[in-house]
Amino acid sequence: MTDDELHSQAYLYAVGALEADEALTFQSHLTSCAECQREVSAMNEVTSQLADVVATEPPPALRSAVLAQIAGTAQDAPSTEPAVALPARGRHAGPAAAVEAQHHASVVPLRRPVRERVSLLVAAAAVLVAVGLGGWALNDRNDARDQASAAQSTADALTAILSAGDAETVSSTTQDGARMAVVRSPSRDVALLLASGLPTLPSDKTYQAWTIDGKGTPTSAGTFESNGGETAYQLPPAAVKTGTVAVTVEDAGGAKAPTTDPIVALGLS
Amino acid sequence: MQSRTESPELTELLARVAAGDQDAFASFYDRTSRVVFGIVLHVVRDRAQAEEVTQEVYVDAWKAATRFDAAAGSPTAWLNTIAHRRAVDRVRSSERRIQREQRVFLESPDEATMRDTSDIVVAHADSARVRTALQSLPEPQRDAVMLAYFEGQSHRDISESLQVPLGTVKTRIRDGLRRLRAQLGEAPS
Repeated sequence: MTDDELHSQAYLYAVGALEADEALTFQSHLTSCAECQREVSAMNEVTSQLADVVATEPPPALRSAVLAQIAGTAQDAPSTEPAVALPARGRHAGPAAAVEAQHHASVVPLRRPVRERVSLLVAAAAVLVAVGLGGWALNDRNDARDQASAAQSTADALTAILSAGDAETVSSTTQDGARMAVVRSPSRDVALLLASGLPTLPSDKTYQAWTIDGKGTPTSAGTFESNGGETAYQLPPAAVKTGTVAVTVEDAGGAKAPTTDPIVALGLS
Repeated sequence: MQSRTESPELTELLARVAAGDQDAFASFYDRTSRVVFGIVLHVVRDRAQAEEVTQEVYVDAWKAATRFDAAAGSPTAWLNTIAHRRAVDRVRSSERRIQREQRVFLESPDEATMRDTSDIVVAHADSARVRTALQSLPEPQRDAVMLAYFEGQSHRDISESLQVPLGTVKTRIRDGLRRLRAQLGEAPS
């Protein structure tokens, strides 16, 4: 396609009227064409106003679900490239690819993964469970069946929490910059610990969660692993009701009582 | 009502979101979610899917806020563009294509495609300015722009819907958008 033909596609692109493969081609052109960048940016301002016409109040549960999910979601590294450049260079996969294209058509392949419509928030579970999963403390982490069922259990718990009307979340950041959050639903009697960017520990160490009662007495809530990505760990029922959840680093296998200072303490009201 | 004159405040909110401020993100959601959910719902139509897509949009926004460049466009355009793209992507499933093709055979193309979009010009009291601008477009341009933006139709779909060549679709959309830009401006008033 000639440059002139590509230029003339800018309007179709801005209004979302290009087919997925055409949008891809145009995006490549966009990275090196300042004129088209300006045109597309200008048109986005216009089409954005069209959206005003159909403004509709979303359900309140959506707000809770969104806020709960972002509490356990890492943000992208700031870009050093110009905002309109499309960094579609294969550094990321899956949902992140769409995130990268902040000004452009989401380059989502036509073959989307099939979603079960268990609730409106299955996608949230998929994101959090995809990489580095914790679960109930397992004696044998090499057992694939247990890991799979732990994954499903955590996914179910997350879905349950996020679709409940009383989902609550409290989050914090560790000294090393890892983000952690506890998400719970009293009505569903489930609580999850979510971590993003928690570094992998040497094999002789483990993370351990604790519920801390009103008197400051810690009770073990199990051990879990993280590989530096996003981790979800289902907390035992006591965590749903207890005041505070803390995390420490212990020797592999866990400890009966914390031996180190918590890397984070999250207080549930 | 989510006023568009809040753009400078939205820019500041978004800067705080980029720094990881979840309270700022909640405010950002509160100020923008009616429009985001509205356009997603209108394009996707199915309410359950609209809620899923809206959530995806806001998670995208949370993650990508760190790379938002205020010099490149307004926060509203940034967010609404993400929303529209996500919605169009969802609606361009093969299932929806098949439904549309079947519908075109069953009814005349004009009725099938214009039934839903015609509702737009009579609704929503707080968008008189935009509605006026849309209504001022010559009908061929208005139809093409609205089928693209509100129905999520590709230029090929529109070509079938309106029974005109691809080149004509492109011209009508270009002219329609230019006319809207002249009337609405790029920045909200």
